[in-house]
Amino acid sequence: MTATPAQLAGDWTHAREEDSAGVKVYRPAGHPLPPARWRHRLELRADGTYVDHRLGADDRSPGVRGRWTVEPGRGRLRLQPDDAGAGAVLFEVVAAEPGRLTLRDA
Amino acid sequence: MSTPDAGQHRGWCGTMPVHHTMLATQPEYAIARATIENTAFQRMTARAPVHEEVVTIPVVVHVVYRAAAENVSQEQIDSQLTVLNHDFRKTNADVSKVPPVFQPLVADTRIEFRLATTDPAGGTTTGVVRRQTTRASFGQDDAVKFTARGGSDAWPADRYLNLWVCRLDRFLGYAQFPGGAAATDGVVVSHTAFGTSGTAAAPFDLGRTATHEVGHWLNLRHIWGDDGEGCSGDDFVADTPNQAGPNYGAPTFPNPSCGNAPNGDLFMNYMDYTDDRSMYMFTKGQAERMDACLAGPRSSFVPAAELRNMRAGVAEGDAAGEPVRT
Ligand SMILES: [Zn+2]
Repeated sequence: MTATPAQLAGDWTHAREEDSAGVKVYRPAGHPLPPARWRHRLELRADGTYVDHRLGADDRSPGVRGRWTVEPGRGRLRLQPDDAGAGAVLFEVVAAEPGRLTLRDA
Repeated sequence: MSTPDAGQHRGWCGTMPVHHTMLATQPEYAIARATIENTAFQRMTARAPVHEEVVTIPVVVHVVYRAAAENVSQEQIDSQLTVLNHDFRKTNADVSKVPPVFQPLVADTRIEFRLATTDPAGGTTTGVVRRQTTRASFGQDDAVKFTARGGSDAWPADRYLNLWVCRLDRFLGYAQFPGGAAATDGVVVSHTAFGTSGTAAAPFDLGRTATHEVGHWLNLRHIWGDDGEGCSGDDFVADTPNQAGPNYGAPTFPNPSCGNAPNGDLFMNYMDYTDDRSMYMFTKGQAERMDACLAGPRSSFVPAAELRNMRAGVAEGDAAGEPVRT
């Protein structure tokens, strides 16, 4: 699908329980999720910046910061870290519904 | 993923830059970590002797609470110490669930834990510090480790394992590897994942979160190698199968990834991310790695005679950088 930035902006947490083959489902902050040892959290802020809360070796979630965009045409979500040495991360947006974001590795 | 091309990472694979950034911005920590890893590798290649006597670690539990339920009972604390002692001594009842093919790997680490009986000033103590806070919850920023930030100050990290219990947002626990700052050294566990009674809640109510975090405190890495979902990460332990990403929930054996069939992932290892009822073993390689930690950065917990035995036959320029007199 071709998503718009307004559809994608939000504070998203991975709802692993809802995944299906190849796709990952994210829920907005406040959505009740069972406790877990770790969940990926992706803050896509309305000002175009993001915080990607990665899985750290000590069970914390070090945040990678950068700018996010929706690629024209293909509608892919692109995360470009501020760290110039780090590569972009790309996701295909499978679905962007109110309260539910579905992504696939691009 | 081992070869990032065109400067792009596919989806969730690219976790290594985070690690590199942290090390690059904290040079002293990076040097300490490199020394610790060199020593661990040296002991592994030298087939260093494992420790013979049981090493007992004094523990101080800091209970930081606002709501009454967060002020966990002595019974709940005791239940956590019992789990740690079972898990590290291979006396946990569920060790019998280890699949036969993995049973030869199971280790008794000969490490035990007891609540401290002497406080830092030399007085008697229960080994439990209870502190009321006005903070509704804590995050991953170490605030719980400082009285001035609504938490409870660490006891000296060379004499005690500091274990903080509090209401944690989003996390069940987190750890600090050896080589870091003393003021924040120790492990943090959510009261809802602490021990086996009281406020401990399924599926994290068998005390395994603390077992996992103390594993980190003794320098164990995640069994999948901390490379996201890739197959190129390493936990620096030889006898654990290569594994893609963390396992969650309660997998069934075998659960293969990264070409490790037919036996598959060692998801029943304490250093995976499975539910408490699904993790019940350390490996001998992990015990050796913890031994290297006890011979090196955490040698202050080991009696001198035992330390001499542990360092016998290992090349000079030993673990802690301070020679042991013989
Ligand atoms: Zn961990």
